[in-house]
Amino acid sequence: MGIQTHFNKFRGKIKLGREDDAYKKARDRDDSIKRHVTKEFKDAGYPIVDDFIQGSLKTHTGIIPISGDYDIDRALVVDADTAPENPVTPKKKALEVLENRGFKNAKIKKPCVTADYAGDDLHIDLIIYKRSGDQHYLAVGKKNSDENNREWAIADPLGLMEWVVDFSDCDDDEAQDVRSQFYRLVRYVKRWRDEQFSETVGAKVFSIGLTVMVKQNLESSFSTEGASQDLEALRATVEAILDAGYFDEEEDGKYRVRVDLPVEPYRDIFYGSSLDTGTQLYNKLSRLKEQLRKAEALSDEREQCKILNELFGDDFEIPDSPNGGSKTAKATYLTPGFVRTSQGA
Amino acid sequence: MNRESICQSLRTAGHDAALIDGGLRLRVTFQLGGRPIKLVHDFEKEILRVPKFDLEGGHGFGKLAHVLSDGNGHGGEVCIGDVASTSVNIECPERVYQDTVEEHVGLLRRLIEDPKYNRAELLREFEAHWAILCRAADGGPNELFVAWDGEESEGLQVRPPRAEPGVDLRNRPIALAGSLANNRRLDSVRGCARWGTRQTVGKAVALRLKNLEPAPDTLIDLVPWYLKAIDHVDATGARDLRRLNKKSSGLYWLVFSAPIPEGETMFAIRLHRSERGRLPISEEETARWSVTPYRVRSLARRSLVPRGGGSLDLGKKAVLLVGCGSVGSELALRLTSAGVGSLTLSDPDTLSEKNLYRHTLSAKDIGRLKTEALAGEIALRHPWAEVTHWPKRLQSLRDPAVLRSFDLVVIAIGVPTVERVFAEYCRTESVDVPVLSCWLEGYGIGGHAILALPGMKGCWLCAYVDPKTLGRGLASNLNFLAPDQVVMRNHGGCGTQFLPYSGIAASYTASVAADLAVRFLAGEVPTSSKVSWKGSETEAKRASLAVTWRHRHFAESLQILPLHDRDCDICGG
Ligand SMILES: [Zn+2]
Repeated sequence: MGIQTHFNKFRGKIKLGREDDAYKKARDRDDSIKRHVTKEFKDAGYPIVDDFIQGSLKTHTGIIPISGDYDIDRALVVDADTAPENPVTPKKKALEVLENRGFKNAKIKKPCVTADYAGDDLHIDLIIYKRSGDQHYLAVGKKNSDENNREWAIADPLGLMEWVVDFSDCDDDEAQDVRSQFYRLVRYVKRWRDEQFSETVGAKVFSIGLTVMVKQNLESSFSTEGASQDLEALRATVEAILDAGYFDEEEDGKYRVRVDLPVEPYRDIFYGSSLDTGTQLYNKLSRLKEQLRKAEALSDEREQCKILNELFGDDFEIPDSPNGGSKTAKATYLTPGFVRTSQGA
Repeated sequence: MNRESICQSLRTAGHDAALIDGGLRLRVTFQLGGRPIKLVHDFEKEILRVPKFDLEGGHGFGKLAHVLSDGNGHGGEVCIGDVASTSVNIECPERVYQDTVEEHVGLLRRLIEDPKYNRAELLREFEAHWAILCRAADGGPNELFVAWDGEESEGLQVRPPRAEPGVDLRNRPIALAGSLANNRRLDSVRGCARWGTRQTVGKAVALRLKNLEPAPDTLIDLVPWYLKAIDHVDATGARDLRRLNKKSSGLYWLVFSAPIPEGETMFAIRLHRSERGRLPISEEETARWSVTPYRVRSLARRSLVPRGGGSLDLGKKAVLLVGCGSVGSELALRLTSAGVGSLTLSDPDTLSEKNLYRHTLSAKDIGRLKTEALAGEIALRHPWAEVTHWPKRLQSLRDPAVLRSFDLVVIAIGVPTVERVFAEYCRTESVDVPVLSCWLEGYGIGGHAILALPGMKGCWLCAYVDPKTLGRGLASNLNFLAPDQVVMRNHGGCGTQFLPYSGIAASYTASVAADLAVRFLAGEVPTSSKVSWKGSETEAKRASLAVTWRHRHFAESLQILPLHDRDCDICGG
C-alpha cells in the first residue's frame, strides 16, 4: 500500500465530528446548558434569537483532543433592540448559569464566558453576540471592565465559517476532493500542534489561525487518477505558509506571527501574542517542512511512518513490515455489489 | 522561370553552362579524369521537383550507378536521390539549378573516382537497372510473381494466367517454390490467383546465387551475363541446372535470388524457343533461344513483411486474442500486420448487421462466426500470418496448458467481471502467461490497454484500485467516464442495450493495444504497463455524463506508463 493509506488511517483516528460518539456526552451537556441560558436570557428581557456552533466542528476540522477537554464553542445571539447596553451584563448572566450547573473555573474572558465540566471532559465557551439585521456584534469585556474596556464589537462569525468551507474558485468537479483534502490537512496540523507544543504554548497557537494559514496557502495534491496525496499536499502547503509573510523577524531568530482574519473586522488573530509563540511556531513549522520532505523522499513505508509518527504522535501508526503490512487483509471491496462502468470493446 | 538567368547564374558559379536547342535545354559540361562529361536538362514548364539531368552517352567510364540508361547505351538519367520527399525552393530557381548541378557533379565524381563505391551502388540498385532491361525487352514490362524465400535453390512451378494479362493476380504469371507448394499460409494468395485452375507450363528452377554482378547494361549483354551468373549458383542450384540441361522443353524459367549490399534481390530469366531442347548453359547452346529478362515481384515472407513495416522477428510469436468485436477485429489485423506469425482468435459470436460500420468485417460475413470470417480477412491481407480460430469465451479458456502455449494473451471483450474472474484464475493457478486487456469507453472519451506480466509488480487489479478508498474497485482507475452512470443506449428494450462509440474510437483503442502488444513481443516493454488514448468530452457532455479526475488531468496519451499501483493489495508497495 502507499503512504496515503496510513494518512487515511491516521485521519480516521483523530477526526472528531459533531455526531461522533466520543462527543455525544459533551453535546448533550451543551444542549442542556443552551436551554438553561435561553430561559434565563428570556426572563432577563433579551431573548436568544439564534444560536450556532462555532469553530472546527462546524468546519469539519475538529480533532479528538490528546489530553484535556472536548471544546464546544457555542454562539448565542440576542437581538440588538433588546440587548443590554453593557455587553458584560448577559455574560454575567451566562456565568451564573454555568456556576449553578456545577462547572469549575467558570469565568468571563474578554471574548467569551468559559468553563470546564470536569466529569465530562468538557470545556465550553459561550460566545455572545447581538445582531442588527445581518450584522453581528461580539460582547467584549471582562467581569469588571470599565466602559473603555468593553464593547459590542463588529464581528462576522458566520462569514468566517463560510470562508473556511468555501471552495467556489475550484473546478466544480474537484471542489469536493480539494475541500476534503483541506479538512484533512487542517486536522493533521492541529494534531501536530497538540503533539509538538507544550500545553500552554499550544493553547496560544489558535486553531483558527492555523486553519486560515492552511486555507490561504493550500497546495492540494492528487495523482492523475485522483487519489489524494496528503503527504505531498501537506509538505507543499507548509512550505507555502512559511513563505507567505506571516512571520516577521523582529530580532535575530525571533519571530512575531500575524494572521489577519479574512472577514470583518480583519483583525490579527494572533494580536498580542508573544515573540516566544511566534518563534516556536516558526521553528516548529520549519522542522515540520524538513521532516515531511525527508519522508517524501523515502520509499520504505515503515521508515516514512516512523517520521510521521514522531510528528503526529502514536495515532499515526508504524506498520510491522516495510511495505505497509496487511497485504492480504485488504482484499475487500469498499464498493457496492456492482457498479456500472463505461467499459466495452 | 528565367532560363537565361539560370544559365547565367551557373556560369557565375564557375560552371560551363549553355542553353541549347533554342533555349529548350540546358547543357553543363565539366571535366573528370581528363574527359569531358556532359549533363543535359530538358526545361519543364514549372518546377515541380528537383531538375533532372541526363548524362550524355559515350563518356567512356563504363556503367555507372545512379545513371539509369534506356537499356541501349551508357548514358541516361542521373538519379541523385528520392524526388518526392525533397522540398524545392521554387522562389529561387537559380539556386535550385546551381545546387542540383553541384550535387550531380559531386555524385558523378565519386562514382568515377571510386570504382568500388560505383560497383556497390550498382549492386544496391540492381533491381532498378534490371527493370530498365525488362522494359526494353519485347512485350515488357515482363513481371513474374514469385513465392519463394530465396534462401537456397529449389524446384519451382510457373503457371501463366489463363486469361489475357490484366491488373490483378488472376491475370499475372505466378511461380511457387516447391517448399511452399503445400503451405497453408499461401492459400489466400493461391485463391486470388486462381492457381488451382492454371496449368504449369515449361520447366522452372529457383536458383540461389552466392554473389552477383551488376546488371547488364543492354539486352545484347544479357546472354553472356547470364552464362557468367550461373557459375555462382549454390551447390543445389548447380545440380538442378545440370538436370535441366538433360531435359527437353521449349520454355525454361530461371528465378534467381542474390545478396546485395544491405539486403537481397530477385530477378528472373525466361528462355524460349519454338522447338523443344535442353536448358542452354553454354554459349553455343544459347544460340537459338530467345532470352528475356523478367522482374520478380516477390511474395516471400522475408520481403513482404518488412516492406509493409512488419517485423520478421515477430514471426515466431504466438498470440491468443479473445474477443473479435470492433476493437478485437481491428487489433487482430494490427497484430498480424506487425508481423505476428501465429494468431489464435477466440469468440463465439457471429457477425450481425448491427456490427457493421464499426467492425472491420463486412456485410458478406453476416451470420458467420466473427473469428472464422476474420481469419479469412487476415489471410488475404497478411498472407504469412497463421490464423487459428476457436468459438470460445474467455471463461472457457481457463486451461494452463493452452494458455501457456502462447507468448501473449490479449483480451478485448470489454467485460470487467469476466476479466476479473480470469485474472483471479491466472493468479491463483500461477498461470504465468503475459496478459494484455484492452477496452474503450463510450462517447469517444478514450480507450485503454493494460499489460500484466507474471511474477512482476503491476497486475490486472492494479488497474482497479479505487482512487478514493484505495481498496479494490469495480471500475478501472484508468477510466475517463465516472462509474455508475447510465452509459448504455437502449432502443428496443431489454437485451438491446449498446455502448455508443465510433469505429474511430475502436480503431484508436485497437492501435494503442496493438502497439503495446507488439512492443512487448519485441522485448521493448520489460515491465507491467498501461497506455490510454484520451478523446474529447464533447459527446459525453452532450449526454450529461461526468468524467473522472483522470480525464481532466491526463496528458500522457499513447505513452506507455507503469501499471503498478502501490495500493494494490496483491502487488503491494
Ligand atoms: Zn497489482
